[in-house]
Amino acid sequence: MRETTAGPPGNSLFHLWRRFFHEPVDPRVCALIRIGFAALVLVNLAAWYPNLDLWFGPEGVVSPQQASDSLGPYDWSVLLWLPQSSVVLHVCFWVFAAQAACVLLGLFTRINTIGVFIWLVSFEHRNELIIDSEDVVFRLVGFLLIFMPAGYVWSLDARFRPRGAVLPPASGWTVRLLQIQMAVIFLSAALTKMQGEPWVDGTAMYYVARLDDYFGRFPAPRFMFDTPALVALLTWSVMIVEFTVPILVWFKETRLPCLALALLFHVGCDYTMNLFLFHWIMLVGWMAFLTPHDLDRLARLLPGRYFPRSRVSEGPI
Amino acid sequence: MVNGNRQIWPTVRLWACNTFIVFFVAMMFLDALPFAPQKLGDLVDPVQRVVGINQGSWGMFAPETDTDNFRLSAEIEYRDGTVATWSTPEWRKQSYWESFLGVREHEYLENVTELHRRAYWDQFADYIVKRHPGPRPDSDVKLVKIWKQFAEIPDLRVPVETDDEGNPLPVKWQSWVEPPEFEERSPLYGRRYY
Repeated sequence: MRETTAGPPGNSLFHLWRRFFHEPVDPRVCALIRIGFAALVLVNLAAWYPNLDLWFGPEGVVSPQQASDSLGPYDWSVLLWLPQSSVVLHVCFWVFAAQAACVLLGLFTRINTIGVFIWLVSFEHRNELIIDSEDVVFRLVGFLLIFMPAGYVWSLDARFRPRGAVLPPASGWTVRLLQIQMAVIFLSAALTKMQGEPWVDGTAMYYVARLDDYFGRFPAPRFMFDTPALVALLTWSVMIVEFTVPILVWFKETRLPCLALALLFHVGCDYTMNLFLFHWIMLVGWMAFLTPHDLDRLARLLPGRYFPRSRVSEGPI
Repeated sequence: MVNGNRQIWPTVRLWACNTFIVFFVAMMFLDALPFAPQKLGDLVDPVQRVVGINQGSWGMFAPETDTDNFRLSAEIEYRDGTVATWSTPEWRKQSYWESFLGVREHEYLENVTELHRRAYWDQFADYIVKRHPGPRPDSDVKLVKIWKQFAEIPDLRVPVETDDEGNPLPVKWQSWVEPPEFEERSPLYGRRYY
């Protein structure tokens, strides 16, 4: 039998690369990301639907010509290529929703994920006036999901797969890319904040807490944002979290505490601020750092039929 | 030859993946990180936009935070002289569901009134007419006048009061639960319907 080797024994960088990017991944992680992503896309669509014609229709707040003019030379939107009418818009919307539902259920997962990504880009470019950071995260997660083995388990694809069908090992490189993306988002936010005086001098959360269109959706202790020392602590805590989590999450010893911190950060921000689905899609992205061991521990907490165990080799981390 | 192709294909796939990884990570760093060289970022921007994965830097309330609150108001004048009024919601008085489901509207109202978006103001006037359950049919609208007003959050870095000896006093913190104090409204736009 012909032996194949990964390369010369001394080529440690190559082995490191291969180990980091190409070790098999637990497909349950990809399935969780798929389910979380699709569920949030459907929530987003449900929020769009009552004002669909207003936001995206030819008689809405942005005309097709204005949308075209606002796009750069390399931006595109399927909605601008099609005949401009309310009927066509609604057909596109329902195709989008149907494909998102198929991604949720894991039916023809890859092709439907591609469809969802195309619709996300198209709707985002059709009306830039209602788009914010969460839509960018949706696009990025959706893009990487295309390449993940997201339909291997917990999906209709898995259910309908012929018995005895052998799937290729699920390589972890797309999960790695999502991990890197999440780290870059936090690092970019931290580095951008370091350039701002209010963040460095500890007063930024004073201003943020007084933006009445974003902040204060649920009751919070008054003193938290009225005491200078606490405001400074909160301000610097945000920066510390955004700077340290993306670095320390890569180490076995600090991975779980970092994920717990990220969870606390996002839930805490979502409690006090109205940022729609931003923090939830970010949490979906952070799930890329879960290992098979984490999922098995979670499975022990939940009834088996709701969280089936899967026998797979150790994932990327 | 067939066996040779079967052996080559996994290697080709592996190197295609690796090339994709390198380019994707490089594009991500160049686009998202603030200190990345602008020229290189401009080089990869077209590729990212065509694929749909452009992101820009993640400046959420950064580097400078917003320092004012805004309100919009409008008068809708009908042909028979009736005048109806519209205004942006009192954000903190909205229920959880109103604020959750109204986030796109909030985003629209915040963005559309920026000065470089004048081209959208006719449709903004139409939007106000459509959203307002006016006393007359929309077709009877003669004029829509829109105002914008701001409430500046006191800047902690700029002392405004001094003591008897002219020394600046610490800026008094406005409590975050107090409603903002809005300035006089200033006209933004008017649309006449013929």
